[in-house]
Amino acid sequence: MAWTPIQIGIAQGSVLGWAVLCFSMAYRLLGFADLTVEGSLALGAGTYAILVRQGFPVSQCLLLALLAGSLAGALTGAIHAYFRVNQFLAGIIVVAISFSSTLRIMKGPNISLIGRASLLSKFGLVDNGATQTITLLLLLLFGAGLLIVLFRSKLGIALRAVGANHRLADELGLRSALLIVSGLALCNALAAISGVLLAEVQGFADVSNGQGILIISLAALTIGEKLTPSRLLAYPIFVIIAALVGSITYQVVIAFALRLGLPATDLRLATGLLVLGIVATRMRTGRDNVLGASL
Amino acid sequence: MKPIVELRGVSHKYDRWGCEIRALRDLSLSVASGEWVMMVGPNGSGKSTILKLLAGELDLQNGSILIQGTPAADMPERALRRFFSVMHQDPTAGTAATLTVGEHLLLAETLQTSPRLSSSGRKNRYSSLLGDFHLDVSLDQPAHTLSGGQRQLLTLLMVKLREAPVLLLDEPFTALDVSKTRLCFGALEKLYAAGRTIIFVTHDLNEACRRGDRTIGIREGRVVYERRSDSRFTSELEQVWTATDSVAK
Repeated sequence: MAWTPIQIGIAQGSVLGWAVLCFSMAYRLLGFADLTVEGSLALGAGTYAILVRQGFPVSQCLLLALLAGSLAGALTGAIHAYFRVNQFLAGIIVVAISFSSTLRIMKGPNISLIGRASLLSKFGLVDNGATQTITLLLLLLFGAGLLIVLFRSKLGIALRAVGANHRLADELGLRSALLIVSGLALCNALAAISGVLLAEVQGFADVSNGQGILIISLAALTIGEKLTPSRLLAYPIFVIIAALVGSITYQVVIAFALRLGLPATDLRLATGLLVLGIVATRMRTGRDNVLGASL
Repeated sequence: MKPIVELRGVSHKYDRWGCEIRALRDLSLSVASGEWVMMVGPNGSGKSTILKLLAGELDLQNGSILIQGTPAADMPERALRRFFSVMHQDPTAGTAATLTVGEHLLLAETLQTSPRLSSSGRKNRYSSLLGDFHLDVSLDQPAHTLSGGQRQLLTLLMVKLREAPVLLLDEPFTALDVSKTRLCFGALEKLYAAGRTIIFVTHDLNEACRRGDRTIGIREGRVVYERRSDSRFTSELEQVWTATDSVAK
């Protein structure tokens, strides 16, 4: 039976929701427009796939994939914090490094996982059906719950303080540089989870897996923040829930658009226009520019 | 009394786009522990540079800064940061827009050996502190919803919780209305009474002479006036100002 666009959207949104969380948290909570997600997602997927192919236990493959993603994030943070390189430039440098690293790790542009014992098969979730989708969604919700707890803890408050007012954090004697590095490491470990799940669901890892994830994340963030009631939620909860809502809604919209005949080649054009449309609407209605990060 | 902070022969210049600006010229001054010093001077006289050097925001170029007799250069940066509390003119500078009032207080307290309290115990303590500082806001209220005066009062409350011995205030109440300024000075006086050392930068000659223990006048990077604070000396300070103005012309 063919999947409905809603089913497709939930499945895709649950897989890529981790990457959207990475982007949203870095941007909204750490005050860092982090481009690294474009590289760390594929790095996570590639690391995971090569280790699975080599017969390592799945748990170790997953941990090392997370480590690879977090290293990419930490590197971006370190380049920015210690060498005082602009956030965007630091991200671009690490995306370039990650691309070559992924190629080296995979020893080629892609690796097939078909027929290999993997994370989903371990739990009997190889059918690409409803059970798999619900499991992926629950996993994402569980992860989001843990992140909410983290960002409301003392460590999370310190991370958010650095993001919201770097100068204040310095004056308070917080280790701002270390907090940026560790915050971005955490965010990009999440992007690596997206990479792992994408490789699992697709049955292969590809060096180009991360391409386009930035615009997807931006669209999801924009949609999510539009749909999530900001007045009812504490800020970190709002950011995290908006990322989930946005990720799934965006994928549902895209699935509908494709079903209605939108050529796949126009997907990024449509996404860009969607983001612009929402931003323009918010500006016309006098609400804060959602991308302006100002509060 | 042994000085808590001492500047000895400090000179500082800014080099920007081939233009050299001398902010401080062989400046020396000391501040005793528990003293409230009002520092007054025109724009560009070097007052803010002194505060930035003390707070570790600028690197020392010439001379020496001693903190309780120890050269500041020998102190770890974090220890230096924690020795001073800084408060700026811009109310948004001292708070983080997306953090709640309660989170600000928790953050400030976490940096000290704070008392171990349950969540409800901490809430009660914070609510009582808000009352002490006449800050009529909720602990769950994000900082971006506070007025400028409320933000400055919150910053002062954080200063109280941080227990940094020296407060560096750079025209902190300039943007506030009369009632909020009065509340903020009230809160500051409580901190002074509790033994904090205060270095307060202002443009207002009347205020400089009326408050604190000592008034220091800074002009073109030098100390040009120094006397016990007393409102009777306002005209004297004005005369010094006028005289140095004519010399400058």
